[in-house]
Amino acid sequence: MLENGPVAALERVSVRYGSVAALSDVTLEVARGEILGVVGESGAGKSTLLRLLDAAEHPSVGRVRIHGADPQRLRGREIRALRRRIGMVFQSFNLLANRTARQNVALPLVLQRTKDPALVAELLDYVGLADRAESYPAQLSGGQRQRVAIARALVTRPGLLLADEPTSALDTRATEDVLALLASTRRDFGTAVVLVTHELDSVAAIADRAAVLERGALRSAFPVARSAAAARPDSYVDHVHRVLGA
Amino acid sequence: MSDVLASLAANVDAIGVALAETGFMLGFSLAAAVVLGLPLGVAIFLTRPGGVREHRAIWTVANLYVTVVRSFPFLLLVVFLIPLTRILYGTTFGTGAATFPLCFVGVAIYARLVEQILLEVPSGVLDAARAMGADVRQTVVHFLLVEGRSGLVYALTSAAISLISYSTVLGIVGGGGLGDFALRFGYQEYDHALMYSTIAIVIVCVLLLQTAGERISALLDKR
Repeated sequence: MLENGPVAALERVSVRYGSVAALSDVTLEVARGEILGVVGESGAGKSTLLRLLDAAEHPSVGRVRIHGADPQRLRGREIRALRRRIGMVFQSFNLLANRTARQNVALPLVLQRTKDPALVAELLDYVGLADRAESYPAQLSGGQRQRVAIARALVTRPGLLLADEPTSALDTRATEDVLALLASTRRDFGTAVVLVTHELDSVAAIADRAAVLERGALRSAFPVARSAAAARPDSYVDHVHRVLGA
Repeated sequence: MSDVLASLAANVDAIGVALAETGFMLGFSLAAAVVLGLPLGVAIFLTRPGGVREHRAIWTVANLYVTVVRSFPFLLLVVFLIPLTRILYGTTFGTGAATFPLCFVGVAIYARLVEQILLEVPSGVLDAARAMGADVRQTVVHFLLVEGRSGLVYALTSAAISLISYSTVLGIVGGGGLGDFALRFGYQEYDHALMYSTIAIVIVCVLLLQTAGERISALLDKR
């Protein structure tokens, strides 16, 4: 395993569904501990890229490496083991509605037949929800649910965190909270974050690099300008003034 | 009213036996529904085209079983199963033997309901299971059954009520039970008071089951 190389890499990857090309000749690396923003309009190939990085899909052409391994060469059990080293955060949170916040966070450990109540408590505290551990998702706000989902994704200490439109269902304040949490995740856990979104503000807020997809092709990948990053997080009122004000 | 009470009082022991017979048939067929119908419904859900573990052969056979058994008029199913019942039970008569076709239909009814409930579990739950590296068994145990549990209990209630209804025709193979009792000792003996009061007992049983099912289902539902 090339544990010192990039945490994930796509080498000249194309994905085709029949005659439709979802991704064309994409080469992209995710460095250890970096936050990579992947932006693009609907149908640009963002979801396909994420599915490749989650080993849920294989390329038609080219090669994918995640944690040094080629998922295409792995068997079911090995792919499942690989996925446990990748955290995933979804747009609609995908928490179990019939499990408490604490049980949701503990779930990845349960699947590995381990228990670590202290770690679960620590992560709930980390995302600022120690006092809501026994609440069910329906009793939490959207932002709180996403923070539970982030705690759940981090409980296995993954080297890579994939975030699929994690703030699209959230209001401004909750978006800021979740972005701040994703940024601190990199700092405190050394986790690389791939933030897939159509919201440029979110990428400007926390990403080190941006990759732009258009109609399945990687048009550009570049470091995010500091001035762009400096433009946010502000208060809700500042944000409204910035967007709507003269 | 006094007719009804007098009739009930005169037949209280026989009604008790009929109630026990219905309870026996319902208990066994419900047990079969849970033990066999639940895994069958899960299997149909998992193996369906585009499912978690697509498997055309298993899906076709399981689906065919459920569809055929459910489309059989129940009375004819009882008759149709007589040879098989004789092989398994050594007799085709009595409450025990009559329970066999009821189990058959209970498994099929509940399997279909289970499949439908699992189809209603949000697809994001399966996405989460996959992303966490869950295998098929874990996906079923830790995700699907957890998120579907209130629906599964509610569906079991519906299945139980259907089975009570089906059980009433099992008098033809000596199954006994409340339906048979109402027919033989009420209708055929022109004791209409007894017939209606037995029907009332059946209705009360159904109401109790329905209420219990709704309560438990609501308790389990945290959505």
